Amino acid sequence: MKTKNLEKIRVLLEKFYEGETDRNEEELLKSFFLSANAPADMESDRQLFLALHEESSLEVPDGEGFEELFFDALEDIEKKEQKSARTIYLRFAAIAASFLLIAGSYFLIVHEYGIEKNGLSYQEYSPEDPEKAYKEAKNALLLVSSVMNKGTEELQTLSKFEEARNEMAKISKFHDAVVMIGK
Amino acid sequence: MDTARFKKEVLPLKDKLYRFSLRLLEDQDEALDAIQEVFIRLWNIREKLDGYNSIEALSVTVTKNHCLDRLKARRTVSIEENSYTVGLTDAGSDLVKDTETKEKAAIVRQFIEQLPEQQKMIIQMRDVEGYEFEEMEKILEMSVNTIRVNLSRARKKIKEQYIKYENEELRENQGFAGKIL
Repeated sequence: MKTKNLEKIRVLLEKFYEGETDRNEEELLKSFFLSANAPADMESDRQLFLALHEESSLEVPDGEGFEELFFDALEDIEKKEQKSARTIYLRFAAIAASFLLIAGSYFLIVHEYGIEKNGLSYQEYSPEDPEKAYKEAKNALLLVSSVMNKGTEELQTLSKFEEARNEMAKISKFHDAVVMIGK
Repeated sequence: MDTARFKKEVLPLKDKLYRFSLRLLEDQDEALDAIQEVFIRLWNIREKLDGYNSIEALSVTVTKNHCLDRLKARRTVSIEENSYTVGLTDAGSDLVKDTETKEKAAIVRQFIEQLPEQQKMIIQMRDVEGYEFEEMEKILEMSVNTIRVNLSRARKKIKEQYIKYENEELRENQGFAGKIL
């Protein structure tokens, strides 16, 4: 009975080294070498099966610590992602803020500053002969206007756009002044 | 897949994946680092994990690819530091001789370490983890026949090396005994 069993093991071993055994047969060989006393000529086979068995019980050293480390790493990654999202938001906010600053300055200069400067000049003026003053002012303004118009023609380049806008705004104020004086 | 399920279904694979990456990388710290990265990759696709037939097969595949990438990167470095690599192999062969006190399992492990990468993976999956050929075929992207042939070569090689080692031991002991007498 025992020799018959041993014979079976020898046949299986041969198949094993040819890569022909299935999983069940391999389990049979394994349990044979793990429990029974194998004959001396099977020592190398026994060592092979023992070693492979030992390899299968190898575990991550400090498994719980490993899982903690993994979740820590995940948190770090998430933080980095949040941080990069925030940097993008900040960059966008900075661009929006600079745009608002430029647009704000533009309106401040063109409207507020322009009105005050022109307003002062014509409100403080009180002519003795309104008829004459009107003619004088009209002539002066027409002259200025024509000079300005000539000037604006040369202010078409993009780099001088803002300057041109300022000048144009002034002209419209002159026109307002003309209308007011007319009244 | 949420954190709780990931912890319950994916993280328990860590020992298996660790053994696999240790088999290929042969360095405990690097193997741990590798599987940490593998888990991060799996976490990043956690929404899609349920769509896979076997999360385990996917995990082993990701680990295999990642470890092979690391080995490739290592090889590029070792070409530059050629002398260093040679130094390592010399130390390695010395180790084989100095293992008298070590367990025999450790000796067999060294023989496995000397196998080509493909055979290492095949031995690991079949003889350590007990995978069926059908699963190995998918993960390793090799035909069952190629796997069988390489498995046979690997098993024979280990046995052959072990017998050689035993004979050397015997001769050394006899020589030692002869000196005493």
